[in-house]
Amino acid sequence: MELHIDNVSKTYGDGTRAVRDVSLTVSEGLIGLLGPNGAGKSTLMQLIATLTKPTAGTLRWNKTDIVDHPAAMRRVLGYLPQDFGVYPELTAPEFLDYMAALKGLPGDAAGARIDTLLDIVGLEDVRDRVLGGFSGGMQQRVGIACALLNDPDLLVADEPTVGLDPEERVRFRTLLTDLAEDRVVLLSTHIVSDVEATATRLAIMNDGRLTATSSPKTLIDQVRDCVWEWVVPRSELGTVRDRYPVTKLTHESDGVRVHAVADQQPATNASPAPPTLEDAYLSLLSDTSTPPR
Amino acid sequence: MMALRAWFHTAAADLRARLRDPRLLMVVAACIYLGHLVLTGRIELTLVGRTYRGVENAAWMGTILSLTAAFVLVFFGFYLVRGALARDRQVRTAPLVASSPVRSVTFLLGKWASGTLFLLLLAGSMVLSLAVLFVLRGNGLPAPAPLLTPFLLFVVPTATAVAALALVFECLPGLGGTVGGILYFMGAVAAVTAPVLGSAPVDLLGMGTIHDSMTQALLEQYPEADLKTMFSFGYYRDPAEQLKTFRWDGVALTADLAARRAGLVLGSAVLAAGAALPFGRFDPSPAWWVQMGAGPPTSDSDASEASAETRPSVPAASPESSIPESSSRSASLSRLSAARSLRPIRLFLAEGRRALRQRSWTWQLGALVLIGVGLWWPSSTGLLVVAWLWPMPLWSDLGVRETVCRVAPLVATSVYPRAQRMAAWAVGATVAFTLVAGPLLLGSHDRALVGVLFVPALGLAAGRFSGTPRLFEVVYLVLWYVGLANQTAALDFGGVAQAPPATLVGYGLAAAGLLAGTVLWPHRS
Repeated sequence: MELHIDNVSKTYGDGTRAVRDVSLTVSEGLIGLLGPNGAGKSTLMQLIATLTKPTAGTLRWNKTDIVDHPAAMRRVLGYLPQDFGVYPELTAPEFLDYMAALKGLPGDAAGARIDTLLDIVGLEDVRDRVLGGFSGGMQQRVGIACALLNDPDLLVADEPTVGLDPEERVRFRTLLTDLAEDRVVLLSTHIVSDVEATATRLAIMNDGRLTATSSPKTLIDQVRDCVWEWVVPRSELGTVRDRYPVTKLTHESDGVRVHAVADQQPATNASPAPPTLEDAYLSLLSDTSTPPR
Repeated sequence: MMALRAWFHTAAADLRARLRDPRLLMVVAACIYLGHLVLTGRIELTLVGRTYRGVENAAWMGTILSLTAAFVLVFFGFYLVRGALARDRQVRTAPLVASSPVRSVTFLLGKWASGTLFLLLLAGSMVLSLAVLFVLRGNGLPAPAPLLTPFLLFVVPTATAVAALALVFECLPGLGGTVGGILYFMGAVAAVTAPVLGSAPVDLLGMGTIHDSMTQALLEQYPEADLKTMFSFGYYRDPAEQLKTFRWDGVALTADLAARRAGLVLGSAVLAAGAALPFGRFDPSPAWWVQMGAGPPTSDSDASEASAETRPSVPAASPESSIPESSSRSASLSRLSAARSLRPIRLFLAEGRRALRQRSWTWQLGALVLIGVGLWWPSSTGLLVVAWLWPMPLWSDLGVRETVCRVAPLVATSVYPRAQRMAAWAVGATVAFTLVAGPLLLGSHDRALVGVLFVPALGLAAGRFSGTPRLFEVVYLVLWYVGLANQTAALDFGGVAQAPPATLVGYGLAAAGLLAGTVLWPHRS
């Protein structure tokens, strides 16, 4: 199972270049697609999900061109869009059964699968309620169940943890990790903690470009010995933030404790700190030049 | 001052959103074409059953153009400007507006001003096209006063009234959807014809004034004219020839007339402001009739364009806090071994359940009554006419629901998105067939079969193309009114007026073309 993205670009009608010359090969495991808002992650996800077509480049799933043959991709795809809705007059099993019919699942297999999925996403107790009464987080869980209905070989989840409470986020991450053992899971997010513990590989996007692909450990190693903590007076906080990528602030009695990335010791009272993925990510983003679109 | 700023920015933002819709270009193109039809005499106003017409001076042409524009605004403009509040829900700006300090009256007056301006821009494009075509024909520049006076007198007040009515219908419970569209259409027919036939409380288009003025001019020049069938206004494939002509210099602009038309503008503003009373200010809680457990009073109170949180058809909306959490769950998911393939029957049933679940019990009861009466009394033409109107809310949702409910990306990335469209059409056709089954199978209305195929195809195509139910509503209502209610054989798709073979073939081909185009048309990202 492999997804090949070769020199893919997407330019919208108004001239916005959402994705620029992205190349990436993804195989079994969980790959986290990280990037700030507007980096082009969702557009790349839509290209992979065959929702839209690239203006340049090719996308192949196991050597099949999915732009020319989108049905080949859709048969093995589970897609959780960033922005989606449900039919409010249906219950969760009815909605999932409707989607199962669209995915070609037979009725009996769909029924058993829906029962399992409702249990996994924690909606079993509310299976008889219509979706119109669901909160955003509960609708998100319906979306997760929908993406897993057809037992996808490729799961594309765009900002899947939005609206989920902390307990559900942890549960969902665990589920994704399990699924990634024999599937390709592509998880797009701007929240580093979503992929920190689960991703086998990370791809970082900024301004439509792929700026890095690496394992989380390699990325963290890149900023080892470059992460510092020190206390600065509140009046100097602005200057420090302008100068260094600050990943954490803690208010203390004598000022603000700053956790930041710097090549050299930024202040005499700064002491080395253990690096995190967030440090590496923000450091990488701050290094990336962002030419105007 | 703050209120004025809020009003202005509400109107400006709404107008901007309307004007940035690329589909507007097609509407403008249609308006320009209408201007061309007026200039070439295809849209004509004749008197005494195509016996007399006015000399083609600027006043005559300007009035025909204004009447055409006013007609377009009344019968089509309403469906174009309706949905301003639903759009706010759909793009999710509604909570921002509701929690802002802007007063409901100010907000609605802003929407009204935007709707009015939008309609006037459309009507203005007709005037402009006529003027440009006039010049291109080598006639020089038309005199502005005779062209613009009827525009100001008749089109502007009509635009204000239509925009206000659109808001009122959207705010009143149960009238925001297709049922409201049907009621408006019936009311508009009455409002347009009543002033010509006799006295009416409000002369929406100014038809009564124009009628009286022309009658007076005609009788002065042809005292023998028989005025029993007075106005004949519409599109004719072949312009009338050898008509007697009379000179008419336009409606005299009196203080009384100006006051009446200004009163209509003022009344429209009051009506738009009055819509604040039923306006729920985007309150997401279920409407009162849903809370009482009675179901919506009509089949589709804003059914197609309301957001999920305000949808009255949700019977048991409950806050999240009342929903128990499952305490222990396993997180294992085994591989699925079942074979996957297209299952048309299963897809049809799933689509049918979705479509019918959305309809209220009153709609379903009405449908059952119509089916029963149709089987009991299959020869009734009147029943058939009603049966062709009843499923309109369901047809108008075809191709629209996926967009409104934001399910489109899920459907588009499924394995069989095209089969879903076919299934939606099949559900619409099945409902149509069931509603007219009695007259079709037992009566002498077998030609209704072409409507069974055509109408859902039209609904699906219009919904997919426009993303709203309104395009289907206006097109279908005109077809239904002319073809079925008035039993015009050439447009009859419902088996009420013995449509000629050419009509049946035309509808059949249209059904096939619309369905093929809709099913094969790729998903719009």
